[in-house]
Amino acid sequence: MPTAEQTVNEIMQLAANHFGVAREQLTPDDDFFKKLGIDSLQALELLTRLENHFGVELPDYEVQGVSDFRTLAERIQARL
Amino acid sequence: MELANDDLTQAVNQIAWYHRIDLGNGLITPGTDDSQDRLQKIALPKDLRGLSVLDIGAWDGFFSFEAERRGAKRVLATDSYSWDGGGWGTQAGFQLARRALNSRVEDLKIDVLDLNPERVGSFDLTLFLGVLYHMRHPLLALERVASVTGKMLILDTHVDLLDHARPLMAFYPDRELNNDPTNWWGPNPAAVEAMLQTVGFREVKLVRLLLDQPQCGARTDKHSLPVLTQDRAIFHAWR
Repeated sequence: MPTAEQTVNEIMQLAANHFGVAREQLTPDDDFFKKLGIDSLQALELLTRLENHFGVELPDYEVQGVSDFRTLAERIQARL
Repeated sequence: MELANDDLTQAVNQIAWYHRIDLGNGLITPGTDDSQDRLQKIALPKDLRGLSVLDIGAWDGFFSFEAERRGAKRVLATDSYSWDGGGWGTQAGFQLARRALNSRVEDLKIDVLDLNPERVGSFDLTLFLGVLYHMRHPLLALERVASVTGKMLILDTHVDLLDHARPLMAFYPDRELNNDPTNWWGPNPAAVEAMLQTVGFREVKLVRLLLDQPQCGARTDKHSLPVLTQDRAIFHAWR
């Protein structure tokens, strides 16, 4: 199983690739809405990509209000 | 001009409603559709601030008004069959609800196959709820839907042939599905996903099948098959 640090790094790499942002510009505590310049629809797309990538299902209640990479990684890590 | 509550109640009672819309002051339109329940199931994002939304097959407008309530900057409700008065209803419910809610939702009578960016523009979010299986030409309809969708589509449809992994669609001639002559096709989830990808959605997610236990087919005896599994499914798709 990957470590929490590996998971958050994978998330940031995937987000950077998908939304065309330089990976170096992202840090775990960033608000991904602001840093990636995305809205709620694109955030849902990111979550779907992450579900597919990690092979997990993220129920709405698990990710409600989550807006930073670190917390998102914790939610995913808990389901790996 | 604002309607007095008694006048509004009277006006509501004169309309055959499909959606159950909360008009305030305890007045909910007596629709046959459990609209709140469906709202939970389609997983509409809670925050739509600043986004444009197209509601195809809006009927009484429940989902259009909900999108506006969630902050959408522009909502366009479109319909044709349900507003034409030829079978299911008219636009009276939508018009009354819009007035009662003091809503700015726009409306346009247009067939799905006539949708294109030149005519209606492009929208961040498109709602295509309960329409696909009524289309005689579903792939063409999805092409039109994709052409006016900028970011995301939420699709709710009847599905069939759940016991098959390959993309397949059941065809319902006459009134084979629920004795309704407007029901034409029952794609399985694999077919919906494949069609959405074919028309340009790069990411597709089956959000959920709605029934706990898929139903046996409701076809007539003349075309009876041993086992047909049917359900209702919600998909999210992104351009």
